Amino acid sequence: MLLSLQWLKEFIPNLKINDKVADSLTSLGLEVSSITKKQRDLIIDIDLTPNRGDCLSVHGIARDLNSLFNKKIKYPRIKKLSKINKKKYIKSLDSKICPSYSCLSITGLNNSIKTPDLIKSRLKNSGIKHINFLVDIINYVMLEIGQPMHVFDLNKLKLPLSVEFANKTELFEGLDDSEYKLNKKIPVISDQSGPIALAGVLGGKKTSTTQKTQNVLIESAFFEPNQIRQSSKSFRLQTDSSYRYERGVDPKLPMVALSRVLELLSKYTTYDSVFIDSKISKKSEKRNDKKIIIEHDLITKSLGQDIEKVFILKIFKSLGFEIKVKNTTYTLISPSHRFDIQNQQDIIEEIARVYGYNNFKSNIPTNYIKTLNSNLNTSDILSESLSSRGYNEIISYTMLPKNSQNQIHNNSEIIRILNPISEDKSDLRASMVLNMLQIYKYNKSRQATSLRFYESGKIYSYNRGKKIIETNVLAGIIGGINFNNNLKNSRKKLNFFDLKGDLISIISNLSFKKTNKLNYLVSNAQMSLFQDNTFIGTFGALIPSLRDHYGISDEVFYFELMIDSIKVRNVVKYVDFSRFPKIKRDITLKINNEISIEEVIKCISKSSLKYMINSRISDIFYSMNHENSHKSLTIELIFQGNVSTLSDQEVNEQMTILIKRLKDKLNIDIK
Amino acid sequence: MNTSYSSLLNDLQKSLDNCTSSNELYKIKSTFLGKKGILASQFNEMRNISHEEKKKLGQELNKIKTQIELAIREKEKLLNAQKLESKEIDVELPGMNARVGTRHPISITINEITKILSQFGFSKVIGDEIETEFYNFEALNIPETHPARDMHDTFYINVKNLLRTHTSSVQIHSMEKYNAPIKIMTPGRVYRCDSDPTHSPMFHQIEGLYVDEGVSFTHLKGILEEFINLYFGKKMEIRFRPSYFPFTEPSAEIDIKFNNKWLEVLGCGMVHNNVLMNVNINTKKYSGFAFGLGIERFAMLKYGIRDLRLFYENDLMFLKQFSGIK
Repeated sequence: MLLSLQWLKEFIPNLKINDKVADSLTSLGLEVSSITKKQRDLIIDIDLTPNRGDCLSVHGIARDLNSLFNKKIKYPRIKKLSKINKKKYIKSLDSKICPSYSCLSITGLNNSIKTPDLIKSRLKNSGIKHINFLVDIINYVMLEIGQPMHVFDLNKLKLPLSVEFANKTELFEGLDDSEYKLNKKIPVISDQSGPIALAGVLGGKKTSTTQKTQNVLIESAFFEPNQIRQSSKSFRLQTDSSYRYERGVDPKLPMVALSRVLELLSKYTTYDSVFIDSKISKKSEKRNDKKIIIEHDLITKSLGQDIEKVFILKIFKSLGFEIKVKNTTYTLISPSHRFDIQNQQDIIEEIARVYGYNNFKSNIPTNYIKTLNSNLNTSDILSESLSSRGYNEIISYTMLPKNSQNQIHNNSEIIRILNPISEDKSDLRASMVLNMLQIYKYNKSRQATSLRFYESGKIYSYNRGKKIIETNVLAGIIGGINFNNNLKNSRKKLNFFDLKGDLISIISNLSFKKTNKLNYLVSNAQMSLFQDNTFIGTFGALIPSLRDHYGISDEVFYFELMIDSIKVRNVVKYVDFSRFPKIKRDITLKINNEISIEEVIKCISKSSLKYMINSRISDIFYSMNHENSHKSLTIELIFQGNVSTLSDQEVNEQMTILIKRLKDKLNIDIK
Repeated sequence: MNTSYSSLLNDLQKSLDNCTSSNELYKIKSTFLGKKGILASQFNEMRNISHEEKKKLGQELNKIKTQIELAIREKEKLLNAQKLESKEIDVELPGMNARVGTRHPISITINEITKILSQFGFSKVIGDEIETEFYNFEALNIPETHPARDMHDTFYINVKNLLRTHTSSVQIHSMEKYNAPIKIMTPGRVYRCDSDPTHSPMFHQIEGLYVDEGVSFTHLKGILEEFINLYFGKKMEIRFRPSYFPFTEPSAEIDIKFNNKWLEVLGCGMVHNNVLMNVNINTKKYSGFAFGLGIERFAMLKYGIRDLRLFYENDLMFLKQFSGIK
């Protein structure tokens, strides 16, 4: 809200116009975001929080600021309404919408006069357009004391008026020349011909006034904040009026505002006659002032610091509260404009903000609270490992372009946003593969040659029962050359086994199984990952058609790990180890292509040979012979005794057992 | 000793002194010790002398042989050592398989912040990103009709579910699960329908919650001031300013002085009783404070990043600047 300090000074005559006013307002929670110098005035912009509807006027700001000065506020002059004759203009009020409604009719008004310069410039400085004299006055009073009002052309009204919900679906033409579709939830002001205004939001075109209008009806009412908010929200229309009503306007203000308007009209122009009508809906008569009772001790306990009783009394008096104190108990009634004061915490906040947040001490609490977890975070540990193996962590949007996942995920799995910000951020990712491809492509097109990326985050999908499933994953992609900085002759393309090796390096007890369940990975180049027989993820080569879609010519490899299924070792049980020399044996097996390497490895590891502590594939050779295609597999076996050095004979015996077993189980011959 | 023998040793010493390569040394070795070498010919000459002289001379020759062998071995060691020191290995060639992996600056910032907060005893809790209106709004004292909902432009999945607009929802779940006392921090992604150079529809937050007996406003000030000073690595000029959040009261915003301007960095306040009551925490016994901050903003301030979009673009030229820090 824009505010002229000269105008504010009319309410607080001793006010010094300088930057310090801005600091004071900010310290009270009325944050000044900018200060602009204009001749002998300062125009400040205040960012008001939604709870402070009472500060949406010069008077409101003055009232709050005065809590620091504690001087008497000077009110603007008003013309008493008590002697004005009544006329019936209002038929009925729906109490859900409008607890009280007042209006003033003026005939023979000279509205063609020029708006006084001071008023015009103040409106301009506050960002309000000049319309005509009367409307300018109405807006001026709104800025001054906070009451939104509306002017109807009296001649165009079919009186009396009602405040009600629209009783049918019809189009309403606003004075902004737009059409609004009414329904039974929209509060309106109606005359005998139908709706003439969107209550508290916008007047109608049909009954609007011009510079030539002489007979007018000025509305000044109290509308229920929630109703105005819903109406304004449903039309996506926020006006100076709706903005104030939805934040709450002082219910005592409508009559004050009319008397201020009449004062200004009398001062600047001429008119013939004035009549008034005012109605209060039954329900609102019961509205009574709520008492809040609070103990001094509670204030001290909550704030952590004792505030003197005298100071507390002073604060609330200056803020317009009724306050009584008995021993250490305060009883408070908040002024009618402070909707936001409901309970003890609200009272404590008032004390704190006027006392000044920056005047409080700072203390570090010393209570010990048991931690909830070991702070051992799988995702973080694996991320560190990947980064130290040359991977770059990325963070990408979890929202993907509309229907972009059609090729790789079932339509029914995809979770979509009802109100996306744009089509390219509209579906939630069911895997990270498209994010990875996108970032890969982006960097590739910027001449990156060696690419390893990973991200830790969530993927989302509906399960078969349409339940929303969120999964924490760690996914990544690699491609390009292995190491940028190597000399040319030691550079290689990154491949399947580079990724496989990286995964083995970062996850303990990892095992693999061939799979083909992911349609975006090449069917014979993907593997499921297991840790201690628990499925923890998948990796493999991405299918060329998907790469092509992103214009990626490199072979790229993708992995996705289910973070919550992975265990990071945090307990180690030490086992005694042998110190006798190890004996190494190699065997080379000729196996036909029907037998998988996995089967051979399993056969060896399950043969439970005595003394064998390790075995690994050390070489492989594929024979291209057409008639007899086969592979030669060299396996290195390590033997070690626990109580003595093994003799050749002891190892030979075991080798014989193994060879026999390979022959019996898999019909494999030793070369 | 026979004079010719001692001159033999002198000759050897001269040759060795002039020798600079292992090739030359090999030649010297064969000249003196080879089958047709000097020493061999001396042994041959012994055939023509008496048995007695042969015995004496033989002993002497063997002694000389040992000395020659020793001298050559010493020279060999010396040459090998020199070889290592010389430029036969070009140490200035690039190292093999060097890798520069990095953590994302947002992760680095989250790690830094959680490390500081865990010193104060906050435990990390991670929650769901898809939430219900109840956990994102109602339980936090933000009813449907409240103007504060305008502060949160929400992405909806369906009538009931939405993408959380803050990680405060995790606080509600945690208080339901653990009640009080509780001291947690909740980093994570949050979403708002907002996109311009200073807003992203997805961004990161961390919030903290501390509920215990006797927690007061001065505690909130104490912890948060200390936190900010620790994060920025020096004593900062800090200002607490009254603000408004439906879930805290009193509420405050913390500004820090950066380049002579106040910058808003953190929202906080004493937890609203309605929130505590919503999760069955006894407000007669317990009170607490909560705070929340934007990770991106903290990272931008610390690293001097001006454009928010850099975080999600993931350009290696950007990412690699963060090598070496966790």
